[in-house]
Amino acid sequence: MRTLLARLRTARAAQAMAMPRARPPSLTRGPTIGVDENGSPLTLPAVEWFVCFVPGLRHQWWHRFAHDRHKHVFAMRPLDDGSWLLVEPWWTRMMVRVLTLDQALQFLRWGASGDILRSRESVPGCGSQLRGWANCSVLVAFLLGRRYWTWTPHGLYRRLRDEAGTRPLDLAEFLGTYYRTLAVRSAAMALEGSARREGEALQDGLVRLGSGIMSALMSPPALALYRIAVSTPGCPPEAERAFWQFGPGRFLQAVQQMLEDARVRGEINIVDAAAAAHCFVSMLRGGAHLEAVFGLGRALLPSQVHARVRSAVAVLLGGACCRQITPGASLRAAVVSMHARSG
Amino acid sequence: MRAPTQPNDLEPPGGKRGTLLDNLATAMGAAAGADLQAVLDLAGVSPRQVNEIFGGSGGLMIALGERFAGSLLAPLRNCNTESAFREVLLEFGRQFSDAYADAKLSTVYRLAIAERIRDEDLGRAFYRAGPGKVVAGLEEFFRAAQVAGIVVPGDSQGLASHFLALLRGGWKVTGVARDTRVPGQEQLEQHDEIAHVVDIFCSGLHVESNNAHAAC
Repeated sequence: MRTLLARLRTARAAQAMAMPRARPPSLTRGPTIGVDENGSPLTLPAVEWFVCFVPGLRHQWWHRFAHDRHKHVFAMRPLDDGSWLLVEPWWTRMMVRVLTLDQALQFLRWGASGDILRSRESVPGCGSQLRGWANCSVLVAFLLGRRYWTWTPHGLYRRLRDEAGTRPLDLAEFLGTYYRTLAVRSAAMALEGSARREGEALQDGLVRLGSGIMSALMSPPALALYRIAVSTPGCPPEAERAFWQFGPGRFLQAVQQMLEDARVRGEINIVDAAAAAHCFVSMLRGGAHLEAVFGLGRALLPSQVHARVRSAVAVLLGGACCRQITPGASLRAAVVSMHARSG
Repeated sequence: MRAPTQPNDLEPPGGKRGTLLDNLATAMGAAAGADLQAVLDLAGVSPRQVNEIFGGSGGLMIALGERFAGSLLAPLRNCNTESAFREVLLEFGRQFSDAYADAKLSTVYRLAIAERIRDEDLGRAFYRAGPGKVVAGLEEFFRAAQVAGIVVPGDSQGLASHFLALLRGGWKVTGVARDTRVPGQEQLEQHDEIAHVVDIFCSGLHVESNNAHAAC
């Protein structure tokens, strides 16, 4: 009698003959993969990390043995699209995540409660995998390609701080510049080519301008900035001002200018173009913006943006009612009163 | 953590849950800019009570969102004429304006957005219980007005979105950050602006044509 093992072997052999296993195409037999002097298939420049040395968020027994404000260390850096990369060693895992700006700000504020150093990674680096105890300090030193023999966050802090190229970060100052950069970039994209063309109908011009503005308002960095501005106590006022002045403020100016020009051409007859621009930008933000702020829905397709903007333009210029009672009478009074107040 | 007490139609208006929400809403009006802990301290509500009754701070935010949504939707009723329609919009707008003006609602929104940064699921739940219900209620109102031939047919959800956006536009918490018009203005002035918003919404800016029934 055959043993159970022998029967299983026979069955597997028969199965393998009946259904030959498809082999994946060998990558090594394809075109040769070029490598740089470090043996990497891609040559990427060294980047700067924000290395955050922080106090603990929850008390742990070993905190009494560590530096007052440097009990833990993690690293993060901004990405080109306004999101952030976080690398945080835990006791139990390595957390690597792409965060939105508002999420990243939670970590940056934690970092600012200790110290943040801006330090450039070393490529190819001179760290070693044989450092033994892989705590947060060792892993962050390894991320930066450093060979420092230190096992505490404060020890790493002192070593990095003494390096020539390392700079401490003033978070408020950094955020002011960063928000401004994001807002300027967003406004430039939204308003590029938005001027009304010769012979173009006002509503078509508003739809084109509005589509750019709505896309910018709905972009992840703009939503994150908005959440921060609204919800974060202690958000630096200069950062908010920069965001306002170089972002939404410019949108309002552009719409106001288009309406003002239309008024001069005799296409519309309004007293307060600024108030009308405010109404239009408010409608562009609309429910979709609020949904996105609370994390509902997917990013709008360009066709959906276009449809919503057309609808907003229709309401702005023509109203929502089929028949209009006392056309313009109370609007006239209200616009005049707003105009008087703003004056 | 214990399961939260569910809102109950049989619960008297002055029930424990309702009283707690009243106290917290009052504290939110007085604690603009504060965090949730400061609001709880001001209202004399302990985190344990919040856990017992609402299941945690998330449940509390959702309950507050529901409560405000219910009060905002109260003026909406079906109407058959354009003047009645306009009157309902004015009433709704005033209710909306008053809710924002005393900072309670804006504080709820602000705290909910702050919670959303920490917990995305909570943000979605808050939206559905609060702002989402207001949008849905207004959408239904516009749909009925379309059936009655008062409002141009089409996207009633878009119309609800536009009208709420026009109303929100003047306040910083849900408007573009650091707006020029902020809570604390005289109520009368805000009501003037509601009339302006309703006018814009109903009649538009009036594109000038040969028959110039212009706005000015």
